[in-house]
Formats: sequence, C-alpha cells, structure tokens
Amino acid sequence: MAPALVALDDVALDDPAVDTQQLATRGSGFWRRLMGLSVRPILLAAVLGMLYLWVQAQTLDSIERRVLNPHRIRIDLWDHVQLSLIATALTIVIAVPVGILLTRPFARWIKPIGLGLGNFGQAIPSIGLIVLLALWLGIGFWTAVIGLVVYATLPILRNTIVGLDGVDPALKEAARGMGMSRLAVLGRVELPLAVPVILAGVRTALVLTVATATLATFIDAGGLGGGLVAGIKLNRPALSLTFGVLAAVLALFADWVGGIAEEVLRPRGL
Amino acid sequence: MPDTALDSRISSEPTTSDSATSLAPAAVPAGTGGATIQLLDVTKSYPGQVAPAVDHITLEIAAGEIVVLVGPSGCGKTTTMKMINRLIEPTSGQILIGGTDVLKLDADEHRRNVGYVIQQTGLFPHMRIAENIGLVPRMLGWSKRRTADRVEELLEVVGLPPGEYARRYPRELSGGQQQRVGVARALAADPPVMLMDEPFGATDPITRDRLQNEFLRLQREMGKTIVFVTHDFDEALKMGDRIAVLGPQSVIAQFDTPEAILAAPANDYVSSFIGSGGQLKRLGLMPLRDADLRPVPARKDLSQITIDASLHDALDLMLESGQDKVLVAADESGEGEVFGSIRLDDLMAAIADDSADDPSDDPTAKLDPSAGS
Repeated sequence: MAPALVALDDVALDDPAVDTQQLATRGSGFWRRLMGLSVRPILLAAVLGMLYLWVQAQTLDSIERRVLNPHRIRIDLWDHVQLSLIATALTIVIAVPVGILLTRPFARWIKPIGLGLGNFGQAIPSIGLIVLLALWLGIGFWTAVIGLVVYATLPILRNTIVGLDGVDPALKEAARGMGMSRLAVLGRVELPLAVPVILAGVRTALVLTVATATLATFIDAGGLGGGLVAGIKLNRPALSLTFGVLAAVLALFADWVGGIAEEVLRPRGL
Repeated sequence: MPDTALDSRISSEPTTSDSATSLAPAAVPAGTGGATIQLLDVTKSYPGQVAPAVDHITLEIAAGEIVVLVGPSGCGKTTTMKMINRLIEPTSGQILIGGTDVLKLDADEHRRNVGYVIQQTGLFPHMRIAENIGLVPRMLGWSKRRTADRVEELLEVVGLPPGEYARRYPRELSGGQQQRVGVARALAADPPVMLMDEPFGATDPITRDRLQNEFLRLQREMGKTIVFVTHDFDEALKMGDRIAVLGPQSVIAQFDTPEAILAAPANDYVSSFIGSGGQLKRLGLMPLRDADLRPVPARKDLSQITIDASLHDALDLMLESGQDKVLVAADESGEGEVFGSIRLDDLMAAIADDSADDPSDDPTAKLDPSAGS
C-alpha cells in the first residue's frame, strides 16, 4: 500500500516546452476567471468606503460612539472571523471523513441516516440551535463554534458524498485493475477528482457560517452581531446598519476567498 | 466439442513472470514474453441468481497468444476476463498464470503484474500522461529515473513523441491517442499477460483499424499473452490467434482459429454469430503472400494489387475491374516488381481446400493447425 501512495509528480521528462504547455493547460479561461474574481473585492471596498463616508456624515450620540468606534469594530470583526474560521475548519475535519466513510461500500446502508442527520442540523432554526446548545453547554465561544459546526455540516457532507459518488466507476475500476489498494484509489483518484465538488461545499459552508456567526452574540460569543443587536435594542439604526453591512461584506468576502480556493486547488487536467 | 487440447504446447513455451525486475530493453518494448493462462472449471455465481454468470468454463491459453472472447452482451465474457485479474472473484475453480494459482496471490500485487486496458481508456484526467503511464512501475517500486525512462520509451512505441505528449493531460489528447496511452500504461511494467476489454470499441472505424494494426505489429514484437474481449466478430477475426465464441453463461460454443471457425462453424449459434459473408471473411484472412500465384500473363492491361493484400481484396479488385484475374505486385503503382497473377478459380479453390491447410505463416499464429476441429 505504501509504495502506491508515493507521489508521482516527478515522473516528468525534461522538456523545454513544459512552461508553455502548463500555461495552455490552465488556459485563457483560468485567467479570465481570475479577472472576474477581482471584481468582487473592488465592489466590496467601494461599499465599505461608502459606509465609512456615511458614518462620518452622521452625528453620533454617546451610546452610538461607544459601539461604533474603530477599537470595538476591530474586536468584533476579529471575533467574527475567528468564530467562522474555526467552525469551518472543524466542520471540514468532521464532515469530509464522515462523507468518505459513508461512500465506502460497507457503509452505503447508513448513508441516508448520515445525510438525514445533516439535514436535521440544518433544518433546526439556527438561533434555536445556538440557544439550545447554550442551555445545555453554557454560553461562550466554544458553544457558538459547536452550533456553527452542526449548522454547516450538511453542505460539506453532502458535497463530499456527491463528489465521491460522481467519480466515474470506470476510473475506479481501472485503478483497482492496475493494482491500487482501496486506500490508494481513494487518495490518488477519488478524492482529487472530487475536490471541485467538495470545495464548492466548503465555500457554501463558509458563507453560511459567516452569516450565522452574527447570532453568536446571543450567547456572549462576540462577533459583528453584537453591534447589530445593540442597534435594534437601543433604537439606533446607524449601529444596525453599520454592523449589518460589515457582516454582509465579510460573508461576500469569504465567498470570494472560497472562489479563489476552488480555482487554485482544482486539480489540473479536469 | 470445444477444443482446448493445448497442453503439449503450453509446457514447451517459455514462461517467465519476473517481469517486474527485468531491466527495460532499449529497442523492443518488452523484455518479457507471455505466460500461459489456464482457467480450470471456473464458475461465478451471484447470490440471489439462479443461473451462474459464468458456468464452469475451462480455457487454456498458450503463452504469446491472443485469444479473443467474443459473444453477445451479457454472455459473461467480461466477467470471465475480470476473474483473471480478480476484479471479480470466482466462486469456484482455478486460475493459473504461468502455472501459479493467482487466487492464492495478494490481489493488488497480482493486478500490478497483469496489464489491463478498458474501453473508456480509464486514464486519470488529473494526472499527466507520464504519470498515468508511470503508475504501475512506481507501485512496483521502480525508481523515478527508471520509470521516466520507461515512460519515454513506451510513448515512442505507441507513436506519441514524449517531448510533445508526456506533460499533457488526457483531455488534451484525441480518443485514439488516449487509447494508445491506455495500451502504453498497461504495458508499463512489462506484464506477461494483458487483458483488453473492448479496447478499441469507443473509437471511430478508421482509428480503430489503425489502432488494431499498430497493436498487432507491437504484439508481434512483444509476444504477450492477451485475452481480448469484444462483441464484434470481425474484430475477433482480425485480432485473434484463436477465438472463443461464448454463449450464455460464458459457455464455450467453439474455441478455434479464425480460419477454422469460418470454415466449419461448430453449430448454428456460431454460424449466426459469424453472420453473412462467412466465405468472404475467410478470403479476408488469406494473404496473397501465401497464395500459389500463376505466372505473369502476357496481357498488360490487368489491374494490379499489392502482395500485402488478402484474397478478399483481390476478389474485390476483380469485381471492380470486371476481369477474372489480377496481377500481384510489390505495390499498386505498376512500377514495382510483379510477382504473378491470381484468378477467380484460384480463390474458389482456396476456399474449397482450405480447411485442412494452414492458411498462414504469420509469426503470431503460434497454433498448430491440427488443433482445428
């Protein structure tokens, strides 16, 4: 099994034409997509600029100033990013292996159960889920992370299963027929070919997590939701608007990063 | 009725199975010839099905021989083939390659020593051509350098200059080129045995014809033992040293040389499989090179045919030119040497007395004509 997993990247031949061929492989479509991807951050920066100018034009009272200041925003933003990244990373670590297991022949019968649990996690209203978890585990950062993981599991789990199931059976059989072990077929054929679909699921989960993390404030786990909720409770629309826009921009930015990751990590040759 | 009496010859064939350790030779791609394959009373039945998919098949394949399993869809020919590399495990029976019982080997190790070509090419789209071909040698523990050398050599052999193709991805190749890479990949570790499952089925007729010819030329140098599955009887006639016509449940209806099957189909099932034009197909298997030519006639207005053509081609030219004889020459241009002529009567005579006669000196035809039924 071990030699089957040896990387083969260097079964290459000295060939001066390699560089041009690599470019041709990535293709003009690759660069065009990258160009398309550069539009998003420019638009987001413009939105943030407009938000800044608008806030500057407001006369803020003392309550608003206490929430709407660079220091507080930085802390909330950082909490929000931490929540989202840690939750997404944990979701990947849990959902991808489970997805792999559920596609193995011996586990096919529990696949509907696994998917059902994922559906269940996502079907519970997110706010309810987080509050229920807080009642059980107490408030705080990690409770919020757990809630986000439960909530974001489905897209990654489902896409892992769909991606692996979508690999051409003829390729799997060819791999077995060449003498690859089951593990080698998984690692060298199935997973690389499923990467685009899995990444799409990760991207969805990431956006979902960033958006849902605004609810973490209800169980004292920080994030951009704090300012948003404060604005509603204290009847200060400027606060809600500012933090709401910040959260939306962050979610769109996360989606953009996910898009870049899909572009870069997609196996070449597909 | 099925003729499998080959034992005397099998033992005399050189059989080496240590191909993985042989150093790749320079000119000829293969260092190792073939090994015998024996299926002894092999059965595959699936739970819940009354009739077995493969019912007690016994098949002995001599080293260096191409045996084509031909039969309609669902007759079990692919199942039979896949049991040889154990993608499907037999329910009972024995499978020996070079005298070794493969059912006792580690399945993964065993498969690395059996070349496998499938219709859909099976190339991994995310790996470059060089990686695809180098997979099995690397699994067998070859060094990177040796693998790279072998990859380069094989790409040359299948007519794809490595400088141009090694670093490409499969989708950047045409269907025919992909199938060549598929063949190169199966040959990579120089296995004594190759299994080919409708390898040229997905290509257009012109490409298929070319791939078939190239492969036969290659096989003449390599002498692998090849099990070739197809549902196309004409392809079977072309590729097979011997053909096993399979009925339902992989029961052998007839197992013989293409010439013998055409000359004397064992039963109606085989006849129906041959279809119409059986005698024409026989002519197609008879090369002019082996025919007894008449002296060059005085007439110079006759059409010329190359000596590399078959009697069928000669008949075709007679019909086309409206004459009952044609000249056989080194080439068709009329400039090369003229060897003689052949007449319509000769074709009829060839068909009439062919059955007992060895129709071919083809070096790939290792079979004793007396094995014919």
